[in-house]
Amino acid sequence: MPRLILRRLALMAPVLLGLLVLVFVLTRLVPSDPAAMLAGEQATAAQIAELRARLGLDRPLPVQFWLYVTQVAQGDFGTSLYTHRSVLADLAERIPATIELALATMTLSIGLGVPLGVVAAVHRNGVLDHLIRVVTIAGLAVASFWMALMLQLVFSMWLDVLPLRGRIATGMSQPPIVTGLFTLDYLLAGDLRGVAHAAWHLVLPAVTLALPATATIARFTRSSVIETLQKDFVTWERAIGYPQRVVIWRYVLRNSLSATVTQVGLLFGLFLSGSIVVEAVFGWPGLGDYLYNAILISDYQPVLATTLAIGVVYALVNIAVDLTQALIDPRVAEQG
Amino acid sequence: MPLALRRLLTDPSALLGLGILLVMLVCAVAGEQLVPYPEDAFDAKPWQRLEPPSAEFWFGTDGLGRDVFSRTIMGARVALMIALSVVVAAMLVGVPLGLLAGYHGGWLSEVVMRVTDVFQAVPQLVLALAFAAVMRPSVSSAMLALALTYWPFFCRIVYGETRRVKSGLFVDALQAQGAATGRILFLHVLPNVAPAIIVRATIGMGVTILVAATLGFLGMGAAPPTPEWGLMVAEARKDLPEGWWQSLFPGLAILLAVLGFNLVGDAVRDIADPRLRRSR
Repeated sequence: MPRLILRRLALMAPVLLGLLVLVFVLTRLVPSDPAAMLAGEQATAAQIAELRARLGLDRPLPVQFWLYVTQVAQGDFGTSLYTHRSVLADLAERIPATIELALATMTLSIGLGVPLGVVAAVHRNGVLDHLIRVVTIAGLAVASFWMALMLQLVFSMWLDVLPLRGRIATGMSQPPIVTGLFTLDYLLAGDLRGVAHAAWHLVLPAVTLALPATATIARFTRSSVIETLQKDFVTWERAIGYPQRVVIWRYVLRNSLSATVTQVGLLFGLFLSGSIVVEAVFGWPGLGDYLYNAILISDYQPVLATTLAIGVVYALVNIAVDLTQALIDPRVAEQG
Repeated sequence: MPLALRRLLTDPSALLGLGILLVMLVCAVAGEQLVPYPEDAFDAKPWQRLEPPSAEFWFGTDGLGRDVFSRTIMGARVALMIALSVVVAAMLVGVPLGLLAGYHGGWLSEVVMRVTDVFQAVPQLVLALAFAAVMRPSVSSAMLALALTYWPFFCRIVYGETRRVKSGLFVDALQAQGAATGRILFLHVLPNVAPAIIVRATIGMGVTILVAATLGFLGMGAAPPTPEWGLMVAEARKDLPEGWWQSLFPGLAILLAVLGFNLVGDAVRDIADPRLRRSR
């Protein structure tokens, strides 16, 4: 097992370097001039040229890349032209917001998707199964930006029961930051009203993101449960008189979850891309929102750092999925 | 193939999907002839802003007084054109690369597969956004960004399938007869790999419609006044909650279009790849 982990981590490095090269070249192709943007509208040509030299933008591309990589290796991701703060500080503030959203989404989609899949499998080809299939297929076809707007329209604008945007209301004071997850931080501070307040703001963005994820989980759980139901051990358990409930939820489900775990890795990709849109619509100050705003004004450093961060997270999740897979099914570990 | 076709036509959900796609195709081909106000694709009519749905304007009018029904129907062409071009372009790059890499192995496959690794190291939308941001927002830059980020999906599938097919005895026989590599790959391996490509392409159409609309919504795709669904939803945002109809209907159109491709894609997968058949 440790060999498997090391191997996967070692394979990660060149891929991430490649990603960095790709995005670096892309950001340098942007037609707008970041130096001119930073210098402001009244800047003279000389001032812009001086700024460009100071940022190293007048050097050849490979040199610029080398400078960037050595800088990153020292833990310096540069400064955002927009927030005028170090990108690392920006990221540190924004990553917990995205993690909080991700955890809420995952909880929601696993908590709903697995039972839906099991119910559909047990009632295979019945009315419930068809109903669940329609919902899941539609769930995968919904555009999340549209879903986000429709939920805002109904629950925030018309019914006025859920907050329109943000992590907390504007007047509300932030909890003392320990983990960066507001719900958890309020809890640690013993502020239960704060917990409810922060959780309330999580509902709409998490539901939007969880919709396609729930659909995927339900579909895969359904088909693997159906497969497991045909195994001999299930027949045996039924024959010796275990109640249906015990057979399904204790034995069949456990033997079916391996396929669902694989899906969680894929879902994470879905989640990361969904979070760009959802964070933009709900004004959720996370990674996706940061990346999008940086791309809009061609702010190099945050774009590079965020893409890299997303690449790292994505790779780590996939490694974690493989490891979980190996833990559930030792045959996977042997193939290494 | 007749058997496969018969199965497709007897599967109710596939039929529903095919029906949706047929309607979409008709809208895409004959949009202007079908809609009441074809000029509303571009012309603003400020005197009839934000009219709610009525007998005159089925889906209401938008913030510039344009008929939402006409624009939604005409949006089918934009969506279908983007999806089709992206999928075809991605196939043209990904399939030959996958075939070559899978057949030759060695350094060639290492290089190609590591490049696909890099492209798939982040979700497609993230890279597509970065690519699109480099260009001026337009339908064609969105298409280019999507094709440039979608080809690895074809490449990987074709690579895996080619490696599987390559070990078949008939390939050994062809090699022994001295058949040229191109001939083996395109006349003999490709047909064996085709089902996997068709499945991926069908599902890819749906995925691409979704991602293209997302690019449009984020302002990195189609530019106004193109009747593009994602852009229409974005333009409608400032008129919420009053003008809800102008964001509701384009979004429903996206839902239907993607649903159509997903339903057909599922059915095609069941037929093409019995190993993945959804158990019923």
